[in-house]
Amino acid sequence: VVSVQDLSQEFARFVDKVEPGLRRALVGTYGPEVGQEVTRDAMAYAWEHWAEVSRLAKPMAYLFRVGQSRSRRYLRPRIVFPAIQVDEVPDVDPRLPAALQRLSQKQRAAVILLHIEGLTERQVAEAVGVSRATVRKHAERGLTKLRDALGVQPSQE
Amino acid sequence: LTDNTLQQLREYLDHVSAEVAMDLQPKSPHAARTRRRGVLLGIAAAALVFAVAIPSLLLDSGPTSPTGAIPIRPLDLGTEHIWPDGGFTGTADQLASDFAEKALGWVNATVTSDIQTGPTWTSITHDELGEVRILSIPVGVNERAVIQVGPGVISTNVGEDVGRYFVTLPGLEGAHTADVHIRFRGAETTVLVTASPEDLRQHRVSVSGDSFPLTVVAVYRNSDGDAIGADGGSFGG
Repeated sequence: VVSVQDLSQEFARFVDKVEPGLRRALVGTYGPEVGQEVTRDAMAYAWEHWAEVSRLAKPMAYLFRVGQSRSRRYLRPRIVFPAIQVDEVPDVDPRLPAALQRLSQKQRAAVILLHIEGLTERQVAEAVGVSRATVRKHAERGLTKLRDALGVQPSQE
Repeated sequence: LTDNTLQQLREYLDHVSAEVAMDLQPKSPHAARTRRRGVLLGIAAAALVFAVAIPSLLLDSGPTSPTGAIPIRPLDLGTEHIWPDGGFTGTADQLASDFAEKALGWVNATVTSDIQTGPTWTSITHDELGEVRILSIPVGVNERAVIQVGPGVISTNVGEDVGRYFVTLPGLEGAHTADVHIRFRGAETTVLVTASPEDLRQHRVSVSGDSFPLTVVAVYRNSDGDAIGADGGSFGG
């Protein structure tokens, strides 16, 4: 028998492990405002459905889909990624926020989940609700757009 | 990451997402400004607990006074979490002490929290009268709120029957009456009704409201009017 106290501590550990990456992916896909809201909703969902979520091998993909579903509640006419303060992130090109903003939502999700969060194409496909081929296409196009905006050629990397 | 563009993207996303970090330990003032939905975590937590088992009691009543000398005022219940409306600035222990004083009238209760971060169960103990456990979560920078009152297995519940709302109560040994604090959906204030001994025997009290009960706290009192226990929860947003 698992006590409620044990459950809350187990969930707190889960949050420490999963929430930062989930928040990063959702904020990167939907922008800071909506990203924050849907991260909260996804974690609330995780708590509410803990018996199922705790058994998932890759809960992040599942919870990203939950966040994606909830994002419709917080639709914004325009997603704005905040400009960079040079002293805070000196190694990031100031053009990056605008470049990220110009990507489609699915392109952002594909690039971030695949290349930043390390999900497989299949996991991203399930998370975003598209085929693996579409994930690959979105990721490639998204990354190409970012590189073009930053003036970086793949060979330079 | 070996790709420079992706390294920059990772660093940028780390920076931006940290600014809106909310999770269970808010890290920035910005998080506090926009943390409203964080309380959904609390509501979900309560939902989880309520899903485990449904109580069997309900009440009805009109606002009659309990037998004790303690003046009873409606608690300042919230809409997205149980109490207080708007959050409490302080630690889990401080929140519990304040709850003990305002909800139970226990001035010198002993409070003990399992942990000090994240969802935290806190035990409020009165040497002579009993124990109440509350579950609180951070809802902003240095702010917390109660999202569950009671043992977390059998607790209050709400429902609608033939167009009339009711609250069920699990009851408590030695309870003579119960203060039932209710905030209805869309309401600006909390309503307080008293469950009579008969209500407690029936485990049910009907309540008057134009909308569904959103948050409920029931405080059980013995025949002397002293609070001896409490439970409550949130029932959807």
